[in-house]
This record gives sequence, structure tokens and C-alpha cells, in this order.
Amino acid sequence: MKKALFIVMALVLAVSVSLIGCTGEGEEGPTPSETIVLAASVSLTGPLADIHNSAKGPIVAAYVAQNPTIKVGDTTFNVEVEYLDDESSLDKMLENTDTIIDGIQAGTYHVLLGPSCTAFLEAQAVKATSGKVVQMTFEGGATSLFDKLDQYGYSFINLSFSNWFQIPVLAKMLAEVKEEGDSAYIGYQNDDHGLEYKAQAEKYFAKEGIPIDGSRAMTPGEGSSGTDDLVAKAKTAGSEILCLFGYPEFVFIVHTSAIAASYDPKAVILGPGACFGVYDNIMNTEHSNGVMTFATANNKTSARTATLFNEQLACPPGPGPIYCQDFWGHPCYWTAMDFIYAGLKAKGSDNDGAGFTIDQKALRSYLASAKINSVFGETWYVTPSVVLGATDYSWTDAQLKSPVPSGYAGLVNYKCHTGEIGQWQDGYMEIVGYDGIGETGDEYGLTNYVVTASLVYPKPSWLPE
Amino acid sequence: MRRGKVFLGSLLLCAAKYKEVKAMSREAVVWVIVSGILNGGIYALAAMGLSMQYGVARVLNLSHGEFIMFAAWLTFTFFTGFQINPLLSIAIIAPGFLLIGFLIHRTLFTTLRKRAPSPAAFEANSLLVAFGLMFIVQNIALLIWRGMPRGYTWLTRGVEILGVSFSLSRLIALGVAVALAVVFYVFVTRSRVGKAIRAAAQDPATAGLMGININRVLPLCFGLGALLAGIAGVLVSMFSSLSTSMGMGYTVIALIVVALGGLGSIPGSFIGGFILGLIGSLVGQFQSSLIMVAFYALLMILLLARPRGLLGKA
Repeated sequence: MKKALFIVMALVLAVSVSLIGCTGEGEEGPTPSETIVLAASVSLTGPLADIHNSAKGPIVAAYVAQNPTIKVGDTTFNVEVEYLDDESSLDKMLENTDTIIDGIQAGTYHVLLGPSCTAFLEAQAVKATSGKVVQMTFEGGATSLFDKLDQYGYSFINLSFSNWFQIPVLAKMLAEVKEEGDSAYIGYQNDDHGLEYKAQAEKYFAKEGIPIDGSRAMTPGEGSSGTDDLVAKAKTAGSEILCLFGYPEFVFIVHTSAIAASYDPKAVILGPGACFGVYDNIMNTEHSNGVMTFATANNKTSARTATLFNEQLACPPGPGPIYCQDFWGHPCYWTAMDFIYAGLKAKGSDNDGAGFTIDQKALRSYLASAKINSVFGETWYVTPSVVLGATDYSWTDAQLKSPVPSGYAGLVNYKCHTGEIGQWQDGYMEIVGYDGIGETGDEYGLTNYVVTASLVYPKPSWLPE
Repeated sequence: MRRGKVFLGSLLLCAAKYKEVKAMSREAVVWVIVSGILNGGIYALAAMGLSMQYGVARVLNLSHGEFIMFAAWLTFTFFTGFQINPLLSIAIIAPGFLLIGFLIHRTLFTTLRKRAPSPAAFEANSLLVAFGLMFIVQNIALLIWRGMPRGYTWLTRGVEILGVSFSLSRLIALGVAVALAVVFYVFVTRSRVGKAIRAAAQDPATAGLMGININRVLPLCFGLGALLAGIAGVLVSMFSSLSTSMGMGYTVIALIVVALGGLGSIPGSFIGGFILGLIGSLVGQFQSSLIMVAFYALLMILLLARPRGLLGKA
């Protein structure tokens, strides 16, 4: 009896497996989906939560809320966003990325949005490339990417960064307005970001003849001790240009250290934090007046950016924009979303009503060559030919490869940027620039750059009267 | 023999840095000392609170820094939203945090203590609970204030000390911290409640037999620790930028100071805070990235050479 039962079960098992094996060739590719899902591993908790919550988070939420559907073929699909919390851990981010890549290949997710910082971006880019899944980045971007553009063939980087093209413009700007003897002191975040900005500042300031008196690393957790010491050193050195390439921990309080020390430099350039609308709110305007930072647009740059800042980001217009605005990153992130939606629409398929799918290779090809109308105007991705042979960062159009060659990452062409340097003037973030921007003969050819106000140098005093 | 080796190693390290230290200008020396004292005041306050919670209530409260963070954000809200002077915020935050700490211990940790088969089991379990509390407090803050770092500007003018300027807000913070520490010390050493606290710290079971209501004293100690954390948070907000992730740093520093000063010793935590502040200030003068390294090195040396800390009991 037992023997017979065993034989019967074995036969049933064998027949079942055979039937499954004979159901046809087996379908490859993603399963059609009823909704379009954008997925990301982000730091919802942990030390990096601040970055997500102030950068990509609000932009993606606002964009999807205002554009809740995409029409592909004859079908309109709802767009959803799914975040997997990486708890600010690199290992967890990579684990989440694997989950998302699997989901994209299965058809439950459709686009991989980038993670919360540059280090994570680069680690994820490797996985995205090997998994042949498009990675659309938001926060993050660094000069170190230049050495690896040929390794991140599926990545598209949207944020401007130090030598793409902020510091070169800053150096040229300061060289035009500074007085004889004015020199700089550099404070920098003691991490990859700060070290990069310090290195680029040293390179381009030297190129433009701006002496540097010294530098000081700012270590996270130092707080006001760090800014007090930086200010003391800068004041002792007699530096008239104070650069602090750091994060909000220092950016938000360096003015208190300077005021306490009666240090009133002619120019102050601050890193992430000062580009947020909330900075003026913290500084009570009297102290923010004249402070420079990195910025790509304001609501005077164009009608498009006016719509972005005045309506789409739901902040009040005019002087004193508040904390929901980031004049550096938000236009870049909105552009990223524009590209995502354009790509999904152009290369997605509704499978005759069966559901949405998208081929990642086709999406990548589209993004590599598309020129879309974003907040910057006509915008496209390039691969700078530092990877392809050139050594000088003053690229000609020929050296900014477009379409992005197969196997290379794309960066939003810096020539598309409408701004690089901003300056707080009477509670308003103005986009400032040197006279040569946009004119024929300008070696950087920044034709899209829109100057909304002249640079004020020296900046108004921030010492109490 | 072991202590000798540790001492020799420390001497060699100092000798290596002697030339650099000797080359410091007078202003730099003044800055190191005063800045160290200013930081030390906050460290001392934070550590005293943790010392109360761990030394008496036997709860290693890993969420201690989150209470500091939460109080800092509350102060920010009161100042920017209602124009309440940060120092006046202490009158609101201090009793509020005392009550919250009392209730947390009364509900969570008292239950754990009653159910634990041994004091060691209670400490282990309470550590895990405190770990969870850390995430809860941090995420509540994240829900309320979102992720954007913030701050406010208050009393920015400078005060010159021996030729070096310091922010008035930092000096006020130091004054408040020192005054509070003195008041707290007098309370613990001279009052009836303080006597009960010291008895509970020595031996809770025997203290209970002597008529001390342990079920009130231990939550009170935890509440006092939260109160001190709250005040530390108010003072920190006066000269630091705020983020919802800033709490862990203060927890780590408080732990080091408690170990340095001696477990359960309020004067030890007070002195330890200033020692740590001075060390941090001196090291930061040469290489700011080594400040935490120096703190941990100090902790290791201390645990090898004098495990009970400066003023802890043997």
C-alpha cells in the first residue's frame, strides 16, 4: 500500500513538473502593471533623513501630486511613488536597490530614483548599470564622477556640482569685483563633498589670481566651536572672502560666530543650507544680506521658474521666500522629473490595454538623446569628454558628447543651467553673475545663464550698528 | 604595571604634540580654554542627567540625546512661533520634561523592573527599551518638524575675553548650566528628597526597607534626568543649528562623560564635562576630525587606568 502511494505521488509530481515545463516558451520581461511606480531607496530615518526630506522628497511629492497620471497609448496610468527606507545605511540601500531592480525586471516598479547622497549614488550606479536599469538621480553629484562616467552607463545625473559649473563661475565673478589684496579663507566639510569643493576652489581661485590664506576642516558635531575657530583664523589672516563649503550645521550659525568676533568680510560664500529659502528666515534678513551660495534659478529667471516657485512649490512669491524652496537643487530635481515623465510617455507601452511596461534599454536610449523643455528651457544630457580624452574643464560643445554614448552616464549639460551663484539681497535670492556670462567670447559659453541682479561686493555689513 | 604602561603611553603622546602646543599664540590658548569651558558646561549638564538615570534608576537611557534634541526644537518653535525668550522656555520645558520622564519610567521601566528576574536582566531589558524610545522620539520630531535643518538667531553680539570674542548666547548658556549644576548638587546633597535619591543609588532594596518609596524615587530620578536633558536642549538651541538627527551625538558624549566622571557621581559628571570640553577644544585646534577619536581614546585610557572614573565609588 505504502509503495503504491509513493509511486502514485512520484508520478503526479513528474506529470505536474512536465506540464509546467510544457506551457510554452516562458514569458520574459516585466509583467504589465495597472500603475506606474517610481521607486527609490531613500533615507527616511537616520542622519541622512534631513537630505531626503528637504531635497528630493518634497519635489517628487509635489510633482506627482500635480501630475498624477501619464497617458501611454490609449491608456491613462496613475503614477505612484514607493520609498524603501535605507535607514541612512549604505548596505541597506544596496539591499533595497536589489529589491527595486528585481521589481523593475518583474514589472512592479518602472523607474529607479536615486538615493540620498553622492556616496550612495555612486554605489547604486554600479548596481543599476549591471542590472541594466535606468538610475535617475536627484541629490548628489561630484567631480569624482568624471572618472567613472564610463562605468555608470545607465545613470543620469541632474544636480549641478563644484566644477559643473559652480566654482569656475564663482572664481571668475570674484576676480572681476575683488579689490587689490583681497584674499580668501576656506572652511570645508570634512567629507568628500567639502574636500571636493576645497580642491576646486584652490584650483580655480589660483587660476583667477585670488590668494587663499588658509583652510580649516569642519567636522560634523563641532557646531559653533568649529565656526568660532574658522572665523578666528580667517580674521587673523585678514581674509576678505570667507568660503564655507559645509552643511547646515555650520552654514546656519557661522554668522553668529562672525558677528561675535566682529568679523565682517567683503564676501561670504556658503554651501548647502544657504540656498534654502529658510536661510533668510533664520538670519533675520539683516544678517543674510549679501551672503552668496550656489543656486540654479529663482522666480525671476523665467516664466517657467516663476511658475515653479510661485505656484508649483506652493510658496509665496517675492522677497522672503520660505523654507519650502531650495534655489539650487529644486529646479534640478524638477528637471529630473520632467525627464522621467517624458521618457515614460515616449518609451512606455500600454500593451493594448493590458497594462504598463517599459523597456529600460529603450528608456536609457531616449534619455541619452532627448532634448526636453524643462524649467531650464531646452535641456539635454551630455557626457563630458574628460572620460573620452580631454583634460581641461573648459569644454567646447564638441567635447560635451550628445547623445550620451552607449555605456556612459549622462549629466545635465551645464550650459543648460540658468544659474550657478546666488546672493541674498534684501531677503531675496538673486541669481548673480559676472559681466561676461552669456556674451560671445565668454570661455564658458553660459548662454542660458540668467542674471537677475548684479553681484553686491562688498556685501552689506552684518555687524550690529 | 598596566597603569604604568598607560601613563607612559599618554606621556609619549603629549610629548609628541608638545612643540605644536607650545607654538600656539596667546589668543589661541585663550580660545581653547574658554571654548572648552563653554562646551564643557553643556556636556556637564547632559551628563548629569544621564548619570541620574543610569547611576540611580539603573536605566542606560540611549534616548537621552533625543530628549536634548526635542527640547532644542521646542525652544526653536517657542522662539520663532511665539517670540518666547529661550531662557523663559526653560520654565515650560523643564517641568514638562520632568513629568514626561517620570511617567515614562513609571509606566515602562517600573514594569520592567518588577518583572525582571535580576538587576542585570532589568538593565539589559531597559537598554533595549531605551533604544526603541530613541527611534520613537526621533521620529516624532521628524513628523513635527520635518527633515529641514533649522535654527534661530538670538543674542549674537560678542563679548571680549582676554582679547578673544565669544558669542553672548554661549556665555549665557554656560552661566545657566553652572548655576543649575550647583542648585542640583545642593538639592541632591542637602534635601530630604536628595537623601532618598542617594540612598536609592546605593542600594534600592535596602532603601525600600528603610521606608523610601522606591516606586516614586526611581521615576523621579529618571524625570530629573529628562529635566536636565531638556534644559541642555534649550541651551544648545541658542547657538547651534538644529536637526532631528543631532541627538545621538549628545548621547555618546554624555556616556563618555559619565564614564569619565564616575557612574552615579554628579560632581564627577560636572567635572568630567569640562575636562572633555577642554580636550575637545585643544584637539580641535589642530585637527577637528580627531575630536571624537580623542574622546574615545580618553575613555579607553580611563577604563584601563581608573575604571571607576574620577569620583566614582570603588
